[in-house]
Amino acid sequence: MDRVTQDGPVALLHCAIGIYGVVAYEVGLRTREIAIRMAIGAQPSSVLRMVLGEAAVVTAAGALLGLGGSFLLRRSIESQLYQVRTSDPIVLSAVAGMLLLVAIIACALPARRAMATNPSVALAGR
Amino acid sequence: MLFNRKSSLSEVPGAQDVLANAPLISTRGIEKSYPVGPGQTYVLRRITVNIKPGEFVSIMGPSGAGKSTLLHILGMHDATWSGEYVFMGQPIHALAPKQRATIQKRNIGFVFQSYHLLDDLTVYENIELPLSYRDVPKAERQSIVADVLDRFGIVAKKDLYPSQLSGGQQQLVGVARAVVANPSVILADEPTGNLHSSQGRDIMELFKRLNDEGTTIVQVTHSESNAAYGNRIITLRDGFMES
Repeated sequence: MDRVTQDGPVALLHCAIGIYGVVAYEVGLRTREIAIRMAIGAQPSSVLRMVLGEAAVVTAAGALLGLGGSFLLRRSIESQLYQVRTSDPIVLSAVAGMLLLVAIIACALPARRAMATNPSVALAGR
Repeated sequence: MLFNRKSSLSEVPGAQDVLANAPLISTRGIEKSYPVGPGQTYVLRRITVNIKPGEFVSIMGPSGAGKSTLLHILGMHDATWSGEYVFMGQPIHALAPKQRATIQKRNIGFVFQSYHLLDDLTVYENIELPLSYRDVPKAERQSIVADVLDRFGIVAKKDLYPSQLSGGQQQLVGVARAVVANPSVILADEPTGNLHSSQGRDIMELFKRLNDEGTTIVQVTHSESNAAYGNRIITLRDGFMES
């Protein structure tokens, strides 16, 4: 196995961990907002839809930028790939899909935690 | 279900008097505690309260007496308590969270001491938010919000963000947000606690006007002068009701 093939899964894992950390932190910061929305009548399902929808849009935009970047850099990594083309649609969509899935999971976990908290507790002292 | 039952009852002769005198809010033996070490620390003990439609009730007591905790229970923001709570004839203690949330959003407006407006939304959007959660069509929302902005004299502020408003103005928006969906009851947790006395007086005058128009109001306050706007005081001390 060449270097790129070996490092690919590790890079993907790092990317997934990074996205998870950033997105989960970002949703964690929105605990107050989620509590306020629920206190004034939002159903948990509508808040979850809002948070996941926003994360999906941002992650999809990131994935599109990444795909553009991979297209621009394709010549520099072409020689290091084995049995995979730089524009392989299956590989590209699988990677983008996986990162999107990671972002949605990273959103859903803290959002569900925030929604399970009583607004009175989440807003106490703020 | 509640509303159907109410409308059919109201057709029975004499039933309207009964409905008018029936409590809007009725609690029996409400208790709230937190686990501390091996035991429990009680914040509320055996709270029994009846509040009729159209009342203006003030909950008073020293810090730590459980006033805000009780208000949040009445506002259905807190589900971890024991006892019985009946709101407009509905046994809240026996309902699933989704049903509670539906009753809450239809009937309760909440005003916070720290305003709790959403910083990224304009005044207009903050006031519109409760209507969007009640599936009010957009055209109708625009008309209702325009009316509320006009009633509260904040039309000129509608495109500003909360950070661009004074504390009094933010609380005015907080009250506007609480009343925009025309709730049966407004619960206010120390609504003037962060305001100058003149701004506080304006807010209390506003509550008085809303109460005169028929909205039931329950406020938590430390201020005797604010309590004087209401017609009844409930006093809590160390989690127990004194009066």
